[in-house]
Amino acid sequence: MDIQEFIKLLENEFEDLPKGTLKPETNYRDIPNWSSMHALIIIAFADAQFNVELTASDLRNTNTIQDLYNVIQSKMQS
Amino acid sequence: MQIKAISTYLPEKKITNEELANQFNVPAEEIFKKTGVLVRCHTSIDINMQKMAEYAAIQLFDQVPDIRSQIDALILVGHGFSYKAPNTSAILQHLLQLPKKCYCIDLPHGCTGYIYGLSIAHSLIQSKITKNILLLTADTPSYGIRKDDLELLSIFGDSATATFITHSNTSSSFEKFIFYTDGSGYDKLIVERSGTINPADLEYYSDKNNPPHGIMKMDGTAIFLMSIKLVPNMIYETLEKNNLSINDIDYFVFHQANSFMLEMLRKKLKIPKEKFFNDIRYTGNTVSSSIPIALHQLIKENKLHRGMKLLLAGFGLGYTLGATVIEF
Repeated sequence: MDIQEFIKLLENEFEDLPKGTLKPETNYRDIPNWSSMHALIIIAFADAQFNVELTASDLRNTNTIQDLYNVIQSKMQS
Repeated sequence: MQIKAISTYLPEKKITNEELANQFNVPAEEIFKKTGVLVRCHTSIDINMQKMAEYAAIQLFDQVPDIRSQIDALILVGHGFSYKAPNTSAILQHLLQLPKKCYCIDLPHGCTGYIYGLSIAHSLIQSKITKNILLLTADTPSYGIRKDDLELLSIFGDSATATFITHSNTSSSFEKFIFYTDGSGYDKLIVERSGTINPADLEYYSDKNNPPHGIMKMDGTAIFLMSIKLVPNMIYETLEKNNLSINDIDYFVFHQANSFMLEMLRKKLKIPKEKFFNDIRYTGNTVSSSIPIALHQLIKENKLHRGMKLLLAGFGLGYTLGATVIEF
């Protein structure tokens, strides 16, 4: 799947976020009202959509949507 | 087996989000968004889990007066028992004036405790050891939380419940249980300094903020991850073992750990909202009491009817997980 499809799926998880807000270069911690809850949403999303286990430290080592996409892709291939 | 009646006891002292918000200088709304809790109850130091269990049982006897003399088993689920020995359930047999011909057992379990309790009740009935079981749950998480720990103070609440379970005349094609344990997660939700490993000492007690019976520590992210990963498969296995599909279940009642996490699980399992209980607004996470409190609420709201198939699932500290299907 390409990053645009990934972004569409991810945006569905954040009910308050207008579509088109997230871009590959977006630092996801800049999402309005970002909190640890959103980190959990991303972790649950990676598990539900891609069967990939993201840990809290995986997240800590990423900043942008592109980073997130890359980590998930690499875990899917391993 | 059949659940005949349930009663619940909630302590008088209520802690609201507004109080926590003032104390910790955070928005009250944030606390609700993260947990789904508005109010949680705290018991006092002299109303321990034994006392709360007693109150819940007395309420049950008020509801259904003639069962006291029929009880031949008492299962007491929870933590914070009165003494290391003897079993607290023996003390309750005496205080509740239950018949002396009585099987009494303490069951130190948390989030999965009610499922464990039901599995023992089921086994006692199937093996004809006993017929009429009083299953009590009583939890005092507030005893183990530091006054400056907002995360734990937000989530947990004290309570006790009493369930009367009796043998039913027809054998059930359900009541098949599934259990999982992964002890590698033992320290992800733990009450430290409370037992024989590194017990509390003078230095521990010199910090006035440290709770008297050991201190609760929780890695919320780890528990969340574990639940998201392991619970759905356990639900599918439980359904399969009971020869049922998701659509056959009338109500799903999971351990009410955290509303946000429960909603994630519901979505993952594609369970319709109207069949899935998710409400801890006025209790918080009540550990082993959460499932019977949910059942009690559903009964009060007239949402449970005899013959309904309920899938009950507990998961959390240990890690331990367990689930079954019962006919109400």
